[in-house]
Amino acid sequence: MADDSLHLIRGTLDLLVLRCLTHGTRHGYAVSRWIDEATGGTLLVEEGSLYPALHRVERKGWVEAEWGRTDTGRRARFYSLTDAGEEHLEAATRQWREYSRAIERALSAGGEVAS
Amino acid sequence: MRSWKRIFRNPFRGGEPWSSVEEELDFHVEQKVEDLVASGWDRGEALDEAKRRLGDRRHWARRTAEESHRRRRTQARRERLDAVVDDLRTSVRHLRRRPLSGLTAVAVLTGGLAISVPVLTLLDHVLLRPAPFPEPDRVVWLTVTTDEGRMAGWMFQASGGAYLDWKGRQDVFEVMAATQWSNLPIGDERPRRVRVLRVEPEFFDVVGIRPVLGRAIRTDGADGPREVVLSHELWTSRFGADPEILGRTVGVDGSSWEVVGVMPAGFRFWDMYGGETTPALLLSNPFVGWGGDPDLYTPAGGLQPVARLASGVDRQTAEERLEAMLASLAEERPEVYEEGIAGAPVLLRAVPYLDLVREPIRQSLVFIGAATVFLLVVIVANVAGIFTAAVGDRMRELTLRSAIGASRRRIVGQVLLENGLLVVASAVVGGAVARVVLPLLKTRIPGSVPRLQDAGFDLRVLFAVALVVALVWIVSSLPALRQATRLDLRGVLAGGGHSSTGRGGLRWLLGAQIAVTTALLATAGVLVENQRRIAAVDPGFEPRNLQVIRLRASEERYAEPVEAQGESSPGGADFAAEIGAVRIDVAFTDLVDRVLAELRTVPGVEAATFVNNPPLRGTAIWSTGLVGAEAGDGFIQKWTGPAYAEVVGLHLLRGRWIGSQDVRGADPVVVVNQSFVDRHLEEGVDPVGHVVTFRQGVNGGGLDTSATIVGVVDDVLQDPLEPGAPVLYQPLEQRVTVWPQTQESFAREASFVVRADAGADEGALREAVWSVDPTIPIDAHTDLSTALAGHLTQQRFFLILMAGFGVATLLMAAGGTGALVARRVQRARREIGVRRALGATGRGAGLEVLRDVVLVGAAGALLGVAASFWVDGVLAAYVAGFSSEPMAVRFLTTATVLAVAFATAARPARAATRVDPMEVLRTE
Repeated sequence: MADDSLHLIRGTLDLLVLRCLTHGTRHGYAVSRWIDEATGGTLLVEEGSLYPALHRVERKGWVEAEWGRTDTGRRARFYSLTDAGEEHLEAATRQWREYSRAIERALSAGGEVAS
Repeated sequence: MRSWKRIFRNPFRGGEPWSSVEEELDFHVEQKVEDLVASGWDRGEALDEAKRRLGDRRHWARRTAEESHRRRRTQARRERLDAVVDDLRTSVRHLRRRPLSGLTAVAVLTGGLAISVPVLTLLDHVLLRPAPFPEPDRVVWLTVTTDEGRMAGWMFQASGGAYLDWKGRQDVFEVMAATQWSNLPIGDERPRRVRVLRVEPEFFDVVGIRPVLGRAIRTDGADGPREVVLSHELWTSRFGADPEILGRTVGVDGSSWEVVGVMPAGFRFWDMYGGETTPALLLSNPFVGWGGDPDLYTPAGGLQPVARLASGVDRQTAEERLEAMLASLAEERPEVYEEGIAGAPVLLRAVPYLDLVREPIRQSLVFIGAATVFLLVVIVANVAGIFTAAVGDRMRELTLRSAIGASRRRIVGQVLLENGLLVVASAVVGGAVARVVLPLLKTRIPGSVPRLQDAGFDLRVLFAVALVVALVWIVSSLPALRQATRLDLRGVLAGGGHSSTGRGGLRWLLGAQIAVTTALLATAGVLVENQRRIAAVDPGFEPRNLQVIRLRASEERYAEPVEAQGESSPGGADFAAEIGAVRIDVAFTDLVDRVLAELRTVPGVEAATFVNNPPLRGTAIWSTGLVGAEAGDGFIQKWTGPAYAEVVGLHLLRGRWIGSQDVRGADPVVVVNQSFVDRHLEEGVDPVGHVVTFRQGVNGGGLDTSATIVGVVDDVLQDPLEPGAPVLYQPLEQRVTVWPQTQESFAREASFVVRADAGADEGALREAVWSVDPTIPIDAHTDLSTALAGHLTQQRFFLILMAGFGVATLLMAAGGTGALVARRVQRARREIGVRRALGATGRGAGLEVLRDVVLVGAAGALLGVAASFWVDGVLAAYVAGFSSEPMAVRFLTTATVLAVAFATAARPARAATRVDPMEVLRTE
């Protein structure tokens, strides 16, 4: 299964984390479930890899974290998007789209070159 | 085992980030298990699956903890920066609230830096920078000397034969080279004399410097091509920096030399008689003339050997091994080595090059350096006073801040930052002023100080200044910090918010300040007075409009070997042969007469006269001694004509001047100066009519002459640093005509002194000389009034510098004293208020403050004067002719310091008279 999965580029995971948090404050497990569902289980090969990413985006000031309680009363660390995070997400999404379009075009292009 | 584990454990494990990461991952696994169980998994299998999906837990936990740790560090840094910005704002607010104390501190510091930085820069360049050679401490200069007999301590050059002998035997130098300085004419028509250094090829290895263009000299000894390396300066000025210069020939002293290289710009080398000098030319083969003759094996000669110590050999070892070498040589040639110098044994000294360069200027630099250090001490003392007073004013606020949780570190930081702002501001302003002051200082110093004109600000100086500024900042903040860290909440709340330092502490500060200021100012005053006395010396002649053209008549035309004329000398034919005598008489006297006649026709010239050695020429040419007198107890011998006294403006004290009747064949006469009478004649003897017998020539190979003294003139300044040199004037026509070869070039020296208005320019005077003989090389042209002013520049520079130091100190003392007294009044407000409430008058309070200043000031001043006497003692040991006599100056400076202290205390004292008792009691 791991062999079939896409290898994650570090920046992509950061992007997904931020995207997820646009829907509101979440704890780490909820973020991992969202990514799992949104990508059809192809991206998060090891769920543990999410946590360095969460702390990294926190260090960069894109998200804020706080310890709180879940509905069941369990202690968990909750993450929410900051204004800086929102701005970064916007820019990064645009970049990603341009990038993936370019790759897509290249992959579906023929062999001839215009002279 | 445990302790090992502790040492090698994960740095993040166990800390706050680690436990928090573990908790987060635990939560993840638990939630996953719950979800899986809800979708029908068995709990045990669900746990395995959740762990599998999480992946390598240890790895991810570690990575997460690292990120977390980095985040905390960034955050802490940001917080610290915020705190600094916060403190910075607070500091600026405080400084704006009390601008006077801040401005005083800045003014004191700026003034101090503006003076001390340029001075330190000059010191650094002249004293501390090594000579521009690689490993300069290995370069030594060899001199022949003796430590016994009447010539003990004299320094001589080496003879060619002895030098070559040493060079072959020595084992302490990596490389050794002979050098010989001379003045040689370059160019065939209208030649000019330049400083020339003749060297062996090894010279370039000794100094470790190669020509920037071309190559070094290769010719060794007298055989081989004549090779010349030009100085960069001559190459630029005379040859327009022509890159094609190599291979061309230059006419030097009547023969052609091939240019093989050009030295780097700024190259200088030591000359025993001229100090550090740029040789215009480096020529091959130093073994020329009497002084360099390889066949001459005598204790003293005309070569200055230099050498590079072999690696691992220090100077002392070198001298010991040289001594052993001389001891073995003494067995072979006892006449040279055992009693060669006036009967005393010969010694060889290896003088480090750096010592040579620094020695002549050491004295004045040590002075200025000491004054600067003193000044810095005064700055620190004053600024510390101001800083302490500033903290004192804010004790209440600082204490409250500390009470509501500010750490001691934070408070120290705050005080340091605030002082630092002032220090940095002063450094910036002071640095800018210093940049202006430095070139001004340089123009005030004569160009003879080596390397001085290269001095400028560079990284090294900036670093040193930064160091000094940091030192001033920290040291002057120390008393303030001591106070700020001894906060006592209860005391402060009860006492109105001032520091716990007692009035005694302030008194000490004030007393110390006045003591240091008095000591510095009194010393500066005494120094100024000493220098003023030197500068005020009467030159003994009228320098205005006097110009001097100095030349040396060429050897071929004006000196003839005595044998060639087939006649014997006055000392006998044997003697003439022994000294290789030459005759210098008719042709030379004729040349002098014709040049004088030409000079008198130059427009603007009013009068012209001849002398071999003009005023201000220096005392180096102490040629002659009285027969029977001790060697070294000589005098300057001058040959001149009847017009000289009138043209130069000598003051005749007794008898008459040389007259037109004093010609060759007439009774020999001389005129002497007052110093000659004081030094060489017995007291009570009437100099006029007295007969003196003297010997022409230094090294024993001279001729005796007797002459009658017909007149005494006042001293003429020959060298401002050595006034009072004895002089004997002899009519040119009556001087001896036969000269030993060692002296003949000296006998051909001639100076023509003209009194002319501004219309007569230097070029016209030179042309007048060349119209008589175009091959005569002219050594120099000097304007005597400019030269005299130049001699006094050094004194004037020193005066200005010391006066500057004095004024800066006084200003600082004014600022510092004012701040301290104001502080004292403020602290005593409560006491004054209470006493006034009990009936004391305001005037009494003010008077008490002044009385305090007078008492403390007087004690400080006494201490300062005592210190200045001590400093004088130190100075007297360093400075020739230093006199600590000017008591009036000491008294005046002390009175000035006290007056300034008193004047600056007046304002705060008046404030003391206005303390309102009601207001004071209300704030309690």
